[in-house]
Amino acid sequence: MVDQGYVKELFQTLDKQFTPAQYNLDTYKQSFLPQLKINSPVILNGNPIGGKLAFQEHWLKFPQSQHNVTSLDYHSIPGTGTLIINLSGKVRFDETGKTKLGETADLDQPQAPLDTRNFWGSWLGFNANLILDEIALQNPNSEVINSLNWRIVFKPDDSLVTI
Amino acid sequence: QLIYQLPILKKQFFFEDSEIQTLSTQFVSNFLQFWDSDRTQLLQLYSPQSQFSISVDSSVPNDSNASQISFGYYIPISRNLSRVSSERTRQQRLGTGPESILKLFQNIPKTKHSLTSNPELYSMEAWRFPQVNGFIISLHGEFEEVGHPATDANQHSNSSSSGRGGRRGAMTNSSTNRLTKKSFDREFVVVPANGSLIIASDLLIIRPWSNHQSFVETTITPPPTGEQQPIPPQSQ
Repeated sequence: MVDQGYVKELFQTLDKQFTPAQYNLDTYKQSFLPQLKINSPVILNGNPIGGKLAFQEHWLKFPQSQHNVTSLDYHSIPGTGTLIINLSGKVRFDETGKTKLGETADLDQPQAPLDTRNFWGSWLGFNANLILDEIALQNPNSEVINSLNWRIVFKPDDSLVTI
Repeated sequence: QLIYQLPILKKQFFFEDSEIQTLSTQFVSNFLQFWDSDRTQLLQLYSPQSQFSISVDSSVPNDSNASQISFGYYIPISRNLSRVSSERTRQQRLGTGPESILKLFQNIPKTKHSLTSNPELYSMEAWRFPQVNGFIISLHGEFEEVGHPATDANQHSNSSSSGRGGRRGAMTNSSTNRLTKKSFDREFVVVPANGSLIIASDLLIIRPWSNHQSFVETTITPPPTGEQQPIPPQSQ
């Protein structure tokens, strides 16, 4: 049974906050959706990002996020050992203008000291599709994700984030 | 200079290759045409193992005002697993095979999509799914409800075994079921077979209407960090 808790935990890996005391850069990157297989395609807002490592590298450049899954449904595809998941929810981003590593867009500026305070923007709506191996039911933390498709489907007018 | 722009371009459509593009765009436009006109015509696309279910998510942020938010027809058939915890109800709301899928289709209000006339209101991704020798289509957009469903699932919920369903049914009698504009996300697993296509899986999310601004492609320059890589070959 794929339940809300399992899928919620998958998306929580995308929302981890960088703390130098807890992570070095590599372990932090690897903490984003470690259940992806190495060659699993990831598509974000219609962009093919590449496989696991390209995705983890890319996700570093996103601002800090908070995902909240509010609907979830899945089917087990007979004879394939795979589950297909369609889910929706809300997501918001930090609007202090920094990436997860505390970098700003201005490359000439010395790096700001890491300040972990977030200024959360408005909630956006998102939809996501996952293909999981059925073995996820027994081994939730192994590499079981065959693809991730993620898209923002609603952006409020007052959101400062440009998607 | 603050970076409020996400480090990716916004693309309305993604197709893994030109074959997938041709197959999926033809499939979607034909499918929606029959979905709006006569859903029984779609049953030939579903095999005895095919599955369909619908999930209502009224809490996705949206542009609707309160009077537009009316999900009474959908609630009795919604399988949203974050709300429906009874294993029995989950099983009852999963359509398997053309006959049980048609029953669910008939509980859904009659609709009108405008993919052909207003493609900007829709967004789609399609990519290969090697385990089924097929592909996935993820379609996002909106539709108008233009008629009450052929059968109203609320009429049956009192006699069903689920007391919870019955109580919800009582709250959502047909006089409160307004026909409104809604948004949706629909995911199809499509398998080519004998020159035709079979829908192995069809997962439909219905949510309050949102405008299409989140699909409009970005024209401003992406930040320098926005490099993209081609989609890697998938392992079987």
